Amino acid sequence: MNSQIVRGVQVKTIQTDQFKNNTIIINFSIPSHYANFPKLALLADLLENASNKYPGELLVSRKLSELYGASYGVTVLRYGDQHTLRVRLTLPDDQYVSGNPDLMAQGFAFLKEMIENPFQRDGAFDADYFRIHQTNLSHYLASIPDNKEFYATLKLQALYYGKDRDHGSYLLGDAENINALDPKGLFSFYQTFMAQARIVILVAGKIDSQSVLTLARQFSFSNQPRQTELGLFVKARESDMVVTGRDQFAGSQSILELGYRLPIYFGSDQYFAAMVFDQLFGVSTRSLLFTNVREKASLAYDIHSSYNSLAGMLTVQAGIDPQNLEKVSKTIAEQLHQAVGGHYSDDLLAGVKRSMIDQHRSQSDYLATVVERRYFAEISGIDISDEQWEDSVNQISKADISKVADQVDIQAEYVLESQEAADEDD
Amino acid sequence: MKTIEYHQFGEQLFVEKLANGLTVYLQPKRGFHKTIATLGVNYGSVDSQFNLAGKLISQPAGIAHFLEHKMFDKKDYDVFELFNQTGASANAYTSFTNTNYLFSTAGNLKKNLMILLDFVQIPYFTEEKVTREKGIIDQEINMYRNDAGNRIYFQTVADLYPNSPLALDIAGSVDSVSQITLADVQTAYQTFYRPENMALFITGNLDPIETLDWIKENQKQKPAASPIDVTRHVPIPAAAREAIHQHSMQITRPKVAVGIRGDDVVPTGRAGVKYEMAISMMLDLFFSETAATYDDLYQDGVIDDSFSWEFENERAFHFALLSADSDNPDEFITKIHQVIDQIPEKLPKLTAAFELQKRELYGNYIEMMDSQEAISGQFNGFLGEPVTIYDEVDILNRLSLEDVLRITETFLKSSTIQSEIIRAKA
Repeated sequence: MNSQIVRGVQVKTIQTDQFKNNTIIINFSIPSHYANFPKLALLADLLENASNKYPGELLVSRKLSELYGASYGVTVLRYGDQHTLRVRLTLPDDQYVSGNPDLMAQGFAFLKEMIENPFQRDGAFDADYFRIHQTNLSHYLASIPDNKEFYATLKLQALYYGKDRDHGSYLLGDAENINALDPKGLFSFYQTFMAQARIVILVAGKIDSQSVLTLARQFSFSNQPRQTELGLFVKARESDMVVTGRDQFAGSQSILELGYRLPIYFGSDQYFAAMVFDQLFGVSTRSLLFTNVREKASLAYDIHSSYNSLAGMLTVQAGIDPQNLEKVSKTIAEQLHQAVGGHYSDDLLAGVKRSMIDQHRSQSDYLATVVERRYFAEISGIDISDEQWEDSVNQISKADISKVADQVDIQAEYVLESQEAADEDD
Repeated sequence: MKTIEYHQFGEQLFVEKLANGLTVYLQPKRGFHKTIATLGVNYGSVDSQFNLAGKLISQPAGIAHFLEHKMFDKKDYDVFELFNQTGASANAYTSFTNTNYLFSTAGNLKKNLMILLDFVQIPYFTEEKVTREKGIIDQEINMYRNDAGNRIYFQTVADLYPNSPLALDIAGSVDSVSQITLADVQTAYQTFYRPENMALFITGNLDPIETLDWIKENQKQKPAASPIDVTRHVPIPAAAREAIHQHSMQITRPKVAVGIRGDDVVPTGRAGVKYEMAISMMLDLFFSETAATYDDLYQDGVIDDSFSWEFENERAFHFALLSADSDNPDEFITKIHQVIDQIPEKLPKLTAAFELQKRELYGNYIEMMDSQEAISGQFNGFLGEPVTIYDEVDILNRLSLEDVLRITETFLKSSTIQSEIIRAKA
């Protein structure tokens, strides 16, 4: 069921008997602008950990225990050009708890409190509460280089987008920008954000749509015009120059990151061919990259590709020995060439398609995926049924994949290079 | 076939011990598309020393993990190719005490099940293949050593159990792996990969009668091997004097851990699960977000969201491990010690907190019931009796604060504490 409760605030319900839990997801979205990244990131932490009624992490945690260990989280996400704050609450269905507590109603009341009544006084977030979460978030951001794979991925993204910081910057901002925020300024950002963001409320499980709608109407979202026309797709980088970057660290394994332009977007004619290409090239455990770079040549422990259909971008990440860098780059380029030429077995292609279909069916066993698919259909305006999805995958031919592979164009290369050093000292 | 009913949750477990000794557990999930099958071997990295027919055999560290890799490598194909053809996704992992082989599919269950049983039960080892595998494992060892989170975990376990097989990485070292011979691999396989030392657990979309028939048909070709006389020898020397151990790595933020080793005897079967649950509950009451002691540490900035703890209970050892990223690791150690010292005095007074925590854990179990990964991951087929998450709910319902007090007392009385700091290299 679909319903608009006030302007720009949609409610979608999904009834299913498959699960023993129910979930409520609320997505608040605005256009992607890098100046907002640190603000929304810290706001997510502040909406997650306290409110005026539950002033402190301990009280929120105990309230969640009372709601049978309900899992509650506030995160930020990027859907192409959309910057989204997601509030999520998952609760057991009443059938499995004693005393018929109407957990759904209690859940909505909890969310209303957390979202609409943050821990603030006189138009500023509580100073101590603000400071703790500001410090924790900036510590986390400062420690990202300790996660080498993730760090390298962020570096590639920044290189690839160059001056386009709306898409090149890390979604949580950086420590410096987090530290520059203040309790009053962020509270006023919160107010503007709540008034302007497009809101989609999704509720799934063993639910009654009418009662869910009644509960959703208890939110006090303003009936002002909201940003309902949000762009989704990000323009793929296009340059004849490959931009490169390199950093060194003491360690035993290097990471190679490659960023390619692949200007095929979700919902377009070649979308399914691009998905199958990505699996065949570098996602499947029998992919061209995995087989020829890792298994046959023992040049990498880990290698995989990833295709972003909202950004028209393909990336490859490999964990390698530093002296093999050139050999690995060359072998990756050769595999792309093999994909263009259709030089792989029909069995491999058939297997890749079967894996994709198997996984698509498997994913419907997660309540979160059921909701996510519905949301994605909503923001893209494209609703693909499971049958259509499977048919489209099955129809992809070697020729379709060649046409996709032919458009893959290297744009950026980043190397996080390890240098052997004395490993430790007791 | 024995049927266990869990009426409250509308779930069933089917159990059968086959003629050759293999135990099969089937847990159907109505309405689900996917099936996960896990073939577990009661054999892990700590089992490198054993008595075989009266003779002590000592094998190089990392052999269980090496064997896991080798099982996929057949005469002229890789087992992943077979799973790729069916569309299933397959995986395997080795822990201190177990090796698990699993696949997940929403397609042809029978075909994948036959692949799983055959590839684990029909080995193909040659001199050449044993040699070639070493290069790949070396890269895997290096990759894990680069990861600071992984490093502090295993280093703390090594501090708790010095000069024991637990002090070595599960994958072994580059040096120990280089010593593995074809004969070692064959001996290990024949000793531990026997049907009576394995358990098959399947959950998801399945018909129990049909599935059991397929398995029986397959296992007919694999009669029980002639009995052998094996005694595992897991040498665990007495605990060392409590100390703070220090290492360094190129990281931005120090990592710190406090490990608590128990030297009391944990019962087997359901009583063992109850023991685990009681210790976890005690740790929750002091170190989860609902605990006042946790909140004090959090508000004082001693811990942040990087803090976590776990309790590991395996045959031959059990320990708790609390860890975090911290700018002041020495303070972290002091403060955690202070909380641990208060446990015997404070725990008896936490009646209300105990009831609240029980409610939270109950809800967490309901959440797990929607996840086939959680249902399989929680299951240990080597406890002497089946204990599913539905049985765990029953154990939880019966757990009293008195149980927690009693079990905590035995654990803490026998315990020694070791602390580990990984400092940032200048």
